[in-house]
Amino acid sequence: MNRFGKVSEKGREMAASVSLDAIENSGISPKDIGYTFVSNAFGIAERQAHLGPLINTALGIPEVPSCTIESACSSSSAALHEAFVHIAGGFIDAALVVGVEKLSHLETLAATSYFAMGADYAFESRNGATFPGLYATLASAHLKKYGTKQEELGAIAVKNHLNASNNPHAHFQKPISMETYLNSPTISWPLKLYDCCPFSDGASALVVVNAAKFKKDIKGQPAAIRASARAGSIAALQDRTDLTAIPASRTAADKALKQAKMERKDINFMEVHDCFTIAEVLAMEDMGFFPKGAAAKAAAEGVTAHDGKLAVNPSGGLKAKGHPVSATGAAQIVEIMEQFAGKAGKREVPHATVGLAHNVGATGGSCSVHILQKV
Amino acid sequence: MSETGSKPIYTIDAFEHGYQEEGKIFGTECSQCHHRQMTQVLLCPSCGSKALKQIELATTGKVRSFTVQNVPSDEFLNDAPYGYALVDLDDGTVVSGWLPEAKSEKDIQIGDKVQWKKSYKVGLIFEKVQ
Repeated sequence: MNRFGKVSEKGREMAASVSLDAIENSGISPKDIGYTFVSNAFGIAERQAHLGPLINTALGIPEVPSCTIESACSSSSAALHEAFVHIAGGFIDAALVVGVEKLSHLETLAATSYFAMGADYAFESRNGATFPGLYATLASAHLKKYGTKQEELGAIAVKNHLNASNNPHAHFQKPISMETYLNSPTISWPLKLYDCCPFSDGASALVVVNAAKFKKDIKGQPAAIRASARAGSIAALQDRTDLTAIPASRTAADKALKQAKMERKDINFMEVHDCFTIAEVLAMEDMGFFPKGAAAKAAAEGVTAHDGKLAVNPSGGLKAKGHPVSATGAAQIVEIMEQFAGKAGKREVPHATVGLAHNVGATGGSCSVHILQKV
Repeated sequence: MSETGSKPIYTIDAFEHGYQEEGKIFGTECSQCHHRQMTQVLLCPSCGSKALKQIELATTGKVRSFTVQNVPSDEFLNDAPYGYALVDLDDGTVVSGWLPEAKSEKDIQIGDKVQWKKSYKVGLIFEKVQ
């Protein structure tokens, strides 16, 4: 992956560049790739669709099939799932997964408008919703029902900014104080500026292989995909019965743990979908790692710090590492791989051997959960 | 192809025409389980029945959850700040809409009574009822 933030390269340039890095780091040859799965949800913002053939041509493998997988903010974890299914099904032996987004050339207004297209445009966005607005209605309901405090949401922002300050890939490189958080302007009440992830550009790529076929080639510290699960929820928030949970997170986590034959206590650390601080709270609770109403308090008590009992978002998360929409899911996997490889420096999770990645599309209409194990 | 097969019982254009021109919020009700909703479906999300009918939804209700939007999308550029709320209508349907008069979180609370107001603007507009 590249450094997230405001990137001057075009999306196609970033995508090809991180793809070549991923292939070279993996030890396999570009010619070994059987399929390229690309995610680039907002490629139209660069007047570019059909990115796969451009990337494959740049990599000297124009004959390799490709397609674009779109699942809003969970696009590249959905692409990873497709790669996993193709390989597990025996159709191919190796796949390239690459997610990329480039929106920084747009004004905040245009970027907010693009993001709103991931919701139910006719029945949510046209009634005044934006993405921060939709998560803010979840936050309002959570604050009211469980007494979650603004400072507890702030503790998540402070933790994730601290982790990002130790991550050279991160968009934000400076820690923030609780005072800075509390004094930041309100975007969509109760969400403040520092509750929200930034608009980032960035790209990340993964190479997925059938390990038995590439035993001699694999370089570095590989990880086994123990589970690749996806789930869905009702699209529009107004049609859901409970506004304090995202049902797909629970379903995807349950499916993944069953697939991996693991229990929650087997997970060392996780990268979860924190596009807003409240989203990290919901992720931890809905996946069953904390009782409802307890996750924000756990962050405030340091339980989810990178060296805490259960590290959450040691990379800085979407919140502070940045959120180039279609690059995010793959970037979560990159963080887990870096933790396994002992390359995480000051944000290192002690004894990291099993990592979980949780990636939500929009407000939970889609969700991916992957479980990786160090091998 | 476009004129055959199952179709939702109202189009999105008809829905918008309803609240902007006819003074009616359209929704669906399931004849089997009586589940109601505003968003477009072909089968009842509650029981799976195809026996859906178009109905007029209630126009008063209570705020289920809300936010106040300071940073709008382009379609609401000239209206921010405004409230965005999920509303439990009195007939049991949950809808979303916006409150032009809710300029800060002090102007709106969960549980507030609200009334829908016909408008040529985009979206369902609600006002607080004292």
